[in-house]
Amino acid sequence: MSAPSVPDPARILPAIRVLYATAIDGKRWFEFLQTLADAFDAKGAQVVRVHPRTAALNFSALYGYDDAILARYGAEGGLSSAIRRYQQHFMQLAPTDPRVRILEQYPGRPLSCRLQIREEELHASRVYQEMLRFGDVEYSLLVSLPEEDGSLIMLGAFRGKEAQHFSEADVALFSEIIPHLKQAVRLSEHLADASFKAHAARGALDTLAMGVVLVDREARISWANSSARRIIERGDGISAPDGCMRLDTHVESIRLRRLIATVVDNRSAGDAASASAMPVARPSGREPIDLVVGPLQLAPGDDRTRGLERPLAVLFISAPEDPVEAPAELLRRLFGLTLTEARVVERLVAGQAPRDIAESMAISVETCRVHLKNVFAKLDVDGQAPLVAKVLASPAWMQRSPAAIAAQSRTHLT
Amino acid sequence: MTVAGTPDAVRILPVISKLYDAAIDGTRWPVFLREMTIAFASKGAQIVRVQPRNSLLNFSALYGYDADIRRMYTTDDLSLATQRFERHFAELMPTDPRVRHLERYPSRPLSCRLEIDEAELHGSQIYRDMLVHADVEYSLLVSLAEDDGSLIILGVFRGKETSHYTHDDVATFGEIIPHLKQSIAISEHLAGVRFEAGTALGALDSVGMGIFLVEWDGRLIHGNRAGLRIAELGDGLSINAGMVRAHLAADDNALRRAISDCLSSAPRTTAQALSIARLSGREPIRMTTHRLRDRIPGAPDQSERPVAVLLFSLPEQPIETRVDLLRRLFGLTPAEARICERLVVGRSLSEVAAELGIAVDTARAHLKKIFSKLGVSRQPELISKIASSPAWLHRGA
Repeated sequence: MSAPSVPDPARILPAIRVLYATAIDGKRWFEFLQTLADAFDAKGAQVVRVHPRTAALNFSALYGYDDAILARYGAEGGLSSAIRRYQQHFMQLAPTDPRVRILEQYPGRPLSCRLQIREEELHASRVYQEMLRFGDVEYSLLVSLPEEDGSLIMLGAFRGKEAQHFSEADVALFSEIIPHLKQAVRLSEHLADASFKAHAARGALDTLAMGVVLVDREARISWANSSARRIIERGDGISAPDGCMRLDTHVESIRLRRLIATVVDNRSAGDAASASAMPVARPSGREPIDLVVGPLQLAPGDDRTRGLERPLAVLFISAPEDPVEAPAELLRRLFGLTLTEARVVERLVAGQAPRDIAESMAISVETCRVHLKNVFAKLDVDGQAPLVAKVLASPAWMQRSPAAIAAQSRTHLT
Repeated sequence: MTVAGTPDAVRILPVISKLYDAAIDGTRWPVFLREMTIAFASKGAQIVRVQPRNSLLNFSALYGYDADIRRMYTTDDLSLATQRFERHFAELMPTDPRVRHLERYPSRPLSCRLEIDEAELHGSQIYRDMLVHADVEYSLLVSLAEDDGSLIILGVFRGKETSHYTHDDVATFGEIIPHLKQSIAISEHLAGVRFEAGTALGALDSVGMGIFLVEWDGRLIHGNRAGLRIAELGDGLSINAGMVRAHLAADDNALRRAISDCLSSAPRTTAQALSIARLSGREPIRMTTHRLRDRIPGAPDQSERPVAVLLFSLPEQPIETRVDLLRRLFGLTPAEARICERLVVGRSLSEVAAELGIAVDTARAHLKKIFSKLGVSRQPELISKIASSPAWLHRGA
């Protein structure tokens, strides 16, 4: 047997670089495993991430054994099905795997199996008999990194019979990768978490009936929710031809810019003090759009965002002709009304007078008044105006109606 | 002519580690520069990032020359001295023979003394005005220019007492370059994602209604300011071990059912409503639950992570509008706006008159003018119009 080869430290540098690339592009794990296998003269490599809290963060990738897996587990359903069958088989055999036993004994420590497990023991194990020998996985270089929350990262490189076992020098070099592996996985999960929150928050703002627009000091739109986009697309009073908020006339646009600049510059005074408002005139002659400007306070917490604290303002806009909808079904459940009572309230909130309500519901004005009286009692109010005030202070009208959402998802499909 | 040196990977492994640390946490660039200084047996190091598309991504860090620039720019205030140094440097840059070389060979590491002869460097204005005073005799530099005009410059520097950087140093330095590009890409990607998340969550905070984003099992993903304030009261609704909980078991079950119903049902019927009883015996908290329409990316495998939105408010903290916003939006006088503000929270006209110390008839006269200004004919209609305008958002802290 020839002397074990001495690994070249320069060869793990590309693996480290690709490892960090996986943090921003999860599709590159395969490429990482390839560079890792190259660095250690290995036939293949594998990475497994187990995250018990968020199953979406779990993944596993295997390089170098596609043919072996297809041969052993059949081509039926393609490679991904074969890999699934292999994984099931492996999970089943893991408790009998002598390598797994050693890894559990030394968490966080890289191990060359042949330095820890005798050849006879490995060869006699079920995992070797039923699995490893078919893939010519003779020598393994492995590490298992368990964390306190029960999550786990495992990384391995493998050589076949024709090669030599992984030496102490290989183990030492492999250990250089470990802090980077941990850091890259943490980074990818931090990124996944931040973009998940961003999408969820934007999704929540999209469900609001109120238009919400984020703008910078120069009125450039950073983001707008779907209600705001509808108002802007109509172009009646507010438009954004080049990504900037424009009002009907140049003079009005400048007024808006000034208003935003004032709010942004005074933002240290706090929300309540620095919010401002203006009505937006419309070329159609319709009632003006209500527009309120407030400063955007970035969510506190990560002070590493400091470099990016670009001052922004948040605009709230609503067009008076968009109906105020408090759907009867929600009103019924929120306030314990009967369906008929809820329908009366729905119409009252939308601005109808009892006479019109009675007519549209084909009931007498007297019946309508009786319903209203019952509703007053149930909501503990003493008149129509306080009733409307109470309903509009509840979340009943805050969400866009299911019909409007359905209409929008239809346009998304086309 | 280029002479190929031999890179020394062992020397730069710790440098690479600190480089990626800095990519994730921008305050750690000096630690990386310190590691560079050690790896290249240097006096100091510098990194400069110029990003013309987004100037917020620009930064520069200098290690090893604090005492020199304090002395050269005659102030103990390091940030002021650094500012003066950077201005001075920008001024002299066009005359810098090193910069000329960097521009000629972008992305190639450069040991100045191998490319520029001593007489030329010593004759340059930048050497006489600046480098000689900080004992920057030998430089090992790289400049990475991209098509969009953005630029990364990294350098290490040695003083007169030592020797110039060899071809091996240049080769070793060259190994860092792909990592440098990668780490800058990571830091900017990270900044972009954090900015998106920060602004979206900030916008949720500016909505006066309580908003919770929860997972299918009721685990809170994010609560806006108004929502967290209501939960902190602990009067009916609270957050326990990261889960949104209602105090009464029956309400808690109803809440869980509403979340799972809205996440499992068809989009058309997703909105659910419920009332949550309060310990104080006050009117219940009213809540609607809703499913986010879109699949949410963000997981490595893009798998679906369903999210429910809970909207809720306390009945005794009704719509608060601000007099100045009402005046601006609807062109009201201060007296008219004060009346509106009170009507919107559910007071009757006679109560409002008493509170403002005016006669009911006077209040009624104001109300008539308000009606005509807002184009409505009845009080409920007036309230509907004001309460559905954005005037009541920004409840303030």
